[in-house]
Amino acid sequence: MPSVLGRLTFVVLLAASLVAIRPRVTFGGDGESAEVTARDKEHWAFRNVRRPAVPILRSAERAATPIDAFLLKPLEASGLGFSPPADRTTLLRRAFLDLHGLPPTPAEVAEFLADPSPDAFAREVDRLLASPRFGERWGRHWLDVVGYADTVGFDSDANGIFVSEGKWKFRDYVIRSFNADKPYDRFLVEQLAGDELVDWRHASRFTDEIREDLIATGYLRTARDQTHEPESNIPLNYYGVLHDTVEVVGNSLFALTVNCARCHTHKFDPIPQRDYYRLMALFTPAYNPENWKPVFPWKPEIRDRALPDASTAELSQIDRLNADVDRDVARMRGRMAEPGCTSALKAKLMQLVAARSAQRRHVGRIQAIYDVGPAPVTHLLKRGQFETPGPVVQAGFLSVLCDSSAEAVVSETRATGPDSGRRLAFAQWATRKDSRAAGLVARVFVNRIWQHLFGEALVRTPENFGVQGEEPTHPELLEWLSAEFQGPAGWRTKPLVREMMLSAAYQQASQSQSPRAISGHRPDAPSPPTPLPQGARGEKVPAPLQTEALSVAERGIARASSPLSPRGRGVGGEGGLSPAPIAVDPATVDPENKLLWRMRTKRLEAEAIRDCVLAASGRLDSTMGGPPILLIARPDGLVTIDSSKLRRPADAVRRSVYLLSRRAYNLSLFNVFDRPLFAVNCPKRDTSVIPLQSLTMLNDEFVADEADQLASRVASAASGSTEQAVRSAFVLALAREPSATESRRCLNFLIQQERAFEGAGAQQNPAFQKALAQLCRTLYNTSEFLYSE
Amino acid sequence: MRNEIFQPAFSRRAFLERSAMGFGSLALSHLLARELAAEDSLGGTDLSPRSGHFAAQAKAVILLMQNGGPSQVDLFDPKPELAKRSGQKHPQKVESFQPGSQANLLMGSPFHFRPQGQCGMEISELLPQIGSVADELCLVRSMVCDNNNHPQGLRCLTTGKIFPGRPTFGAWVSYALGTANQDLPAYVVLRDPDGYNNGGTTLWENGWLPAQFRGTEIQSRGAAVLDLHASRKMPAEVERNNLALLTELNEERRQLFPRENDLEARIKSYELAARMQLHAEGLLDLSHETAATRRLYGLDNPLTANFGTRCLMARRLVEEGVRYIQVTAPIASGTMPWDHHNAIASGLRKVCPQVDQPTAALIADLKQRGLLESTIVWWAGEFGRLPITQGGTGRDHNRYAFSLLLAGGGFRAGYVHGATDEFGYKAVEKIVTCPSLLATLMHQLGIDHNRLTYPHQGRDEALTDPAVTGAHVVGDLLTHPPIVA
Repeated sequence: MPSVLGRLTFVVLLAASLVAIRPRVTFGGDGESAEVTARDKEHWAFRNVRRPAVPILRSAERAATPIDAFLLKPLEASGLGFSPPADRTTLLRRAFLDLHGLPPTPAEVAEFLADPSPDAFAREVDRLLASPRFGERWGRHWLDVVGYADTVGFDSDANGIFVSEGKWKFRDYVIRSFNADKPYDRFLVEQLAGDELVDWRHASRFTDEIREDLIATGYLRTARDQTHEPESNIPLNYYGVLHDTVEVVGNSLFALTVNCARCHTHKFDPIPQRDYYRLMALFTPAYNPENWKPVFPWKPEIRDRALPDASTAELSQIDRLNADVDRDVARMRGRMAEPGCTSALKAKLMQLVAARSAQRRHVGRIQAIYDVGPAPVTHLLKRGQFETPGPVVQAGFLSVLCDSSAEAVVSETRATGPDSGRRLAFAQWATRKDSRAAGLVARVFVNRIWQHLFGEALVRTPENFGVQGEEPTHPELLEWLSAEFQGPAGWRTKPLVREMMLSAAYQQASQSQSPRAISGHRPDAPSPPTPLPQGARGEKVPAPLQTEALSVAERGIARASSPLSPRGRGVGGEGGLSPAPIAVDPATVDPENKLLWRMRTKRLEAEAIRDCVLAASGRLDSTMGGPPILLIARPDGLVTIDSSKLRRPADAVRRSVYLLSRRAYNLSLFNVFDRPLFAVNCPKRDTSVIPLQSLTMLNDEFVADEADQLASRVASAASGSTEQAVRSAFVLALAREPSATESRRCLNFLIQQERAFEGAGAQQNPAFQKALAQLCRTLYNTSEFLYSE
Repeated sequence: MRNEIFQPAFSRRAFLERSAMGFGSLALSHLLARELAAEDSLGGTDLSPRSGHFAAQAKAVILLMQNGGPSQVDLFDPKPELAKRSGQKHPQKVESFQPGSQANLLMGSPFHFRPQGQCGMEISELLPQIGSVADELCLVRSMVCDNNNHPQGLRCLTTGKIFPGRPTFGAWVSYALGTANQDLPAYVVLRDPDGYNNGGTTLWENGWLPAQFRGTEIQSRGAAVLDLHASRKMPAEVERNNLALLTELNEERRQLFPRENDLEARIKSYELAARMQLHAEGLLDLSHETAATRRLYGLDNPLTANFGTRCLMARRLVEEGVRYIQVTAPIASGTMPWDHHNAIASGLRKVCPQVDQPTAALIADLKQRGLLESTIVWWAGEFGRLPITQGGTGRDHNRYAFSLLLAGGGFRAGYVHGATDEFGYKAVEKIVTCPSLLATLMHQLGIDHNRLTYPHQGRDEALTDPAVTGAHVVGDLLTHPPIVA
């Protein structure tokens, strides 16, 4: 029988171990006073990023880059490997769609196929990254994350469109930033506190830098602001803007559901209610409920939140100039009204008035954010209601991402001049290298890049990195990428994108291997098969890439020690054409393809679908930037481009990112293809399959018009050869040659359709042209057109 | 694809569904059916019909949406005390939304109320036709809303909460139960062909539920569905050839990707689109309806034709097996036709005749066809109006009390539920919140509102979120209330 002491020890130890192993599944319950513990900070997303070693593989044949090593390790453990490399045309179209949201032109396809050098694909990726089309595509991703809209208010009325003047400058800023590969830490600092980086209040003129930094703060102006009409200019809506802003910031930077801590301490994540209001206090000096600036001037005398796009000195100069103009115009009008004024003189004066009036200068606006005056006291709001203020809180950050409680609050001594300095302190805290906060910020962003390139993110809940979100499928890879991003890549997006695209993982085929087709050959190869030189297939670029993203040390290791390239440059060389026999059916072992044994197909987003239709038809206008192209909600429910308000006809065929961004009532084509309702923001688009999509692609006027255009383009390229026409249509629409069967089928189709049109009374030549248009329309409707393979 | 990611609870089912699609095996679908039955939460990724948690009393729902906030004290809730003290100060401080009500002066209704039908329910003289079907109605006089502004109020009524971005009730119902007719959408919206109401398409959003559960607009004028027909007329043979080629190209491609569900679904969606083209056609054609029916709905009267046509189409959709239909308010008197901040008396005289007869016709017609038992009709705005005057002739918003009508689907006929205070400012007896009303509607459809959830941002979200809203089934409203242990 054990002694009493022994028994007591046992009980104590048992109790202690229970406490120690009890998983923290819930948080809070203590109301406002819940404190974050050291254990809370151990959640994988909240830890400091530590760079893991690149795994050593049993067989490194297919590992082109460290990314591959991280992916192959668990694949190996499951008896799997990568799929064979994608054929080169597929790979090229994939890269174009991913980086530009546009297909390659026939010339670009031909050029790429004619280039046998082993680094052809790497150079292609570099070209794509250097093109301004990259920023237009990747800028749109960021605009989703921040919930950008050109309009003010809830925007829930189809025909009540209030466009916020100058808001588009933020959209252009985002595109510019991605094109310039602005480091992400700098990008965030500008967006959170650009106004605090420059002394815009006293500048004699607005330099490009001042303008850029002010425009960047448009990030904090994405919340739905209802204060655009007198009866909505009420505290309820002021706080609504503050709550939405905290939600957007919490979600876009940290992928946390911070908003759950508005009314009570977060139920799952270690976010005390106090922390929520600490974040809110970062924004109250700008969004001051006691000194509110409405979002829209409903009367001329209303001073709204927007800033004039000129310094005070420039403004007074312009005011003087305009006053001179007005005085001259008034004088001339006075002359015209005099009794003795002849009609000839009147006509002359009219001309002068027009000429002089044209000299009036209009100052645009910047939808910026800035501290509107002394910081107000910020309270914790009981049950999230502004009517029931609780204790006063200091501006600060999320405790779970801070090492000490002192670190979690903004020291008020930072304030200099008219700025509280709170947002700048926050931005610097969130991006301080090697901190917990920066670690999470980097993980969230890297995860999004991965999602755009690989179809699924490593953390499949990109909107939630909290304890209720999913854990990363490849935790070490996420850590390694996050370390790369903050360190060697210098927070730049392009090196990371490049690193991912040069992996064997990215370049593998997406077709799932059924055991029958395991050899990797397609049942129906393209009609003029493109023989590829050994080694060039799939661009097996040797492990150390010519990228700054890889640290020198890493490169050294990768090159010298064997895990990545045991046989020098021969990484995956022959593996590409004859993959190692696969003992198990990957679709059984990993049906969801979480391990990435094949590339994923990706449905194009709504905007990319429209852009690809226009690119294929040859009508896409590549003009960049400027005020949005306006839309109109027609009574029949279709939302189309408002052709009556186009500044130039070609504006109707510009890239989708330049169309008016509304919260609802976007272009009908966008609406059916899952452009979300932007209530707050959208970290991940849906990819539904609904019959309205089919009806739209089949019957919409836009698609029919562009099919006609594509048909004319095809006809002029084919110079009379029907076979050539079919080939040309395929290359333009799908960036590949038709297979022999497809070609045969399409030729028959053209004959059938020509007859059908002739039967309906069309003359021979138009009948062929019409048949060709139907072929083009059908190609636009194929699944292949809508997907990146 | 998204569903698999966000639905850990369904991952096994999702896998089975995927496999079932590929092999079409009977054994697997059998397994799938068992899997479904075993799971506590309803809901699926497609629109195939599913049974609820328990036997349903109603199969379909028609919402006759009345944007703007119909005035309960002028329409459904007679207040003799208010009439008596009209012009005097309200004894309490009244919460108003807009300026203009500071004087706090009571304003009695100029309209008379008379007992209607066998049940003697009192309804305003403004709605004589609705009064004529009083014996079919369940009138709730004790509704409350969470917010005093239109967008929030509309969301509270249709999504259970005031926050934007949440799925609407119709989307939840489609998600839970699918639909009987695979040739038409599960959730149909019949809106005014002249435009949207305030709130527009956000009132039939799917929120974070998959997009196939979003309401689909079917037009009562022109083409039934957007892009239902080619923008240019083409010989039928040409269209057939197009579809034949498309199917071949898609099918050939799909074989390269045997495990991509999406590609298979896309081929199917073209088939559904084709079937919709055939079916939606007939819905518009009201010429088969008898002259008596057309007269009943007021199709021959320009005042009632707009709403009447859509009420008649709603009945036909119910006959076709459509699960949820929303008929929006006519906009001839504004996109918020019941928002009478001023000149309420003349305003009501304009709006009431537009909806009175068609509403009553729909209820009577469903009744005579034996469909009312299995169809819920609800007639509701987002909140009520104040008993005090705004600017002398109008009434401001009131979230503390409003009235709404329910009929059919096992709701108690000829019954008045709850009561407001002597002036009709606040509901005081048997108060019903929007989430509780939604819970009750769900109950009639065979859905336990506590158990219908969808994972979103790490949380199992529910339409009614009972833990937060305290939503519960209001047994008093039902002919067969649930037995509470």
